[in-house]
Amino acid sequence: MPKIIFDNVSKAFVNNSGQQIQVIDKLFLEIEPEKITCILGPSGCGKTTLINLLAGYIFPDDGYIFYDSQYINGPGPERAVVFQDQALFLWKTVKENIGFGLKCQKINEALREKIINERLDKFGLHGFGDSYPCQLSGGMKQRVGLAGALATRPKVLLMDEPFSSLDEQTREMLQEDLLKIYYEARPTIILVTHNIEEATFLADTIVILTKRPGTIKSIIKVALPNPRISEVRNSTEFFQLRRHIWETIREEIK
Amino acid sequence: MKPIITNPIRKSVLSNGVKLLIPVIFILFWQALMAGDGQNVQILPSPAKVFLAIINLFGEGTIITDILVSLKHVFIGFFIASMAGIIAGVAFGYSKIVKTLFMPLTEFIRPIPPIAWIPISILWFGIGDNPAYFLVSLGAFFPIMTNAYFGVISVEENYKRAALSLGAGRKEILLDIILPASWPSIFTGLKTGLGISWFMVIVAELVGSQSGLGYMIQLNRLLLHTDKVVAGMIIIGICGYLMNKAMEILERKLLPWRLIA
Repeated sequence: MPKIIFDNVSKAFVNNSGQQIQVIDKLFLEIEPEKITCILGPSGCGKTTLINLLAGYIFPDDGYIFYDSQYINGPGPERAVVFQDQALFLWKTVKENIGFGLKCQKINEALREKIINERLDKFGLHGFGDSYPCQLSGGMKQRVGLAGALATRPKVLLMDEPFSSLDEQTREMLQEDLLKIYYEARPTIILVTHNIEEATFLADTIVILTKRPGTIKSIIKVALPNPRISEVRNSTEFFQLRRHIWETIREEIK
Repeated sequence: MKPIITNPIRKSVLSNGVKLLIPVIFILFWQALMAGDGQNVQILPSPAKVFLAIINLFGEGTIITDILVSLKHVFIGFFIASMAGIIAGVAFGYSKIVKTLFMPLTEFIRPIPPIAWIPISILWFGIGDNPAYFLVSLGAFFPIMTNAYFGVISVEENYKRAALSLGAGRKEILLDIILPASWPSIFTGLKTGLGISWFMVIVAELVGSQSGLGYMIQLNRLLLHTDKVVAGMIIIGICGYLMNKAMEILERKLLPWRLIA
């Protein structure tokens, strides 16, 4: 199983006034394969930086990130990314968006078409294949993003606040859709969020970061029953866990 | 009682009527001004005379040739400018090396107004079609190149990142991401470029050509046929307007993904 390991990772940025800002400081973290790990933390703690490092868009100043016992040295299709603001290609139709990863992998057109149609059905996008992103609602756009990222069956799915710009109902629907897909294909999911409820509902493991410079504050194994169903949200355990997480984070905000 | 909801059809007839109001008053005023005796038609003919001149020009048929010649000058010059401008702009935006090598040269040439090239283009190409092609493509090149360049450099980093994470290589990044993402900007450049082309073709034909609409109004000035000069100007205006409209229709066809609010 491909494991992801952060080994003593540090990353700093230089801000507009020329100051060096340490975003992540000596971070050790091991991500369990085929599980959902949610990364929570106060805003500005470097959550997005972690995703960018894992995706291979940026590189650590110090330390190493291993994926499958190798350094991450750039973006790759085995690590799919779902962005906060949907990075759908506005000039491509829904079908072309979903099929782009397959096209890049030189999968022939007939098979591509078959996979795309299957994805359209699964993600509730039937009949929207020829629409352009500008014609879709926020929730549908995010579904297209998810369908596109998953079309090539990546081993890892990196999600950077994927549902944060959606309304409450749509967000809960999509969280449940995500779980459905997850139980089928079992990718390793690393999801960054500031939404405690979301993390509690989705995660097998919750990693809470400290405020900047980000390092690990606490790691919580979520013992809620699997597969998660919507009703879990109303259970006492869920409330208790949520409260515990909130208190842990609150210490950081103060 | 007045109806609260206005009838959309009546509204559009009304707003079209309002649009025409000032032009109609203008033409009537112009006609009234020319009605008295002693007006010099060689300075300004009446709208009725200009209208007759347009009818006659089409009746004689030479105006058709002039229009076609000017359109030929524009299209060939504009085509060359589009190819060169898009390729140069995209290359400048895509490759730091190309930009560093060639952009200083284009930045040096750009501030020279295209009309300042007229004397040398006549020396180089003589009188005829070629200076027109040269001046049109020179004038249209810069807005096309600049807009293509800015289109490419302002493609959002997230698009490229998303594509890379989906396994895109250099070819896909260029053809599937950078080019289509910068199309709206490139198209803005093409529209501006076509406008400048039309401007440049008339200038080129005024001084360096023996055919076309620019040549036709210049010739009629020498013959003191002011009605035909004004008629020619109006035809030039109409052609330019129609070209611009055609580009707008083409834009809507080529860029269906842009939300037209």
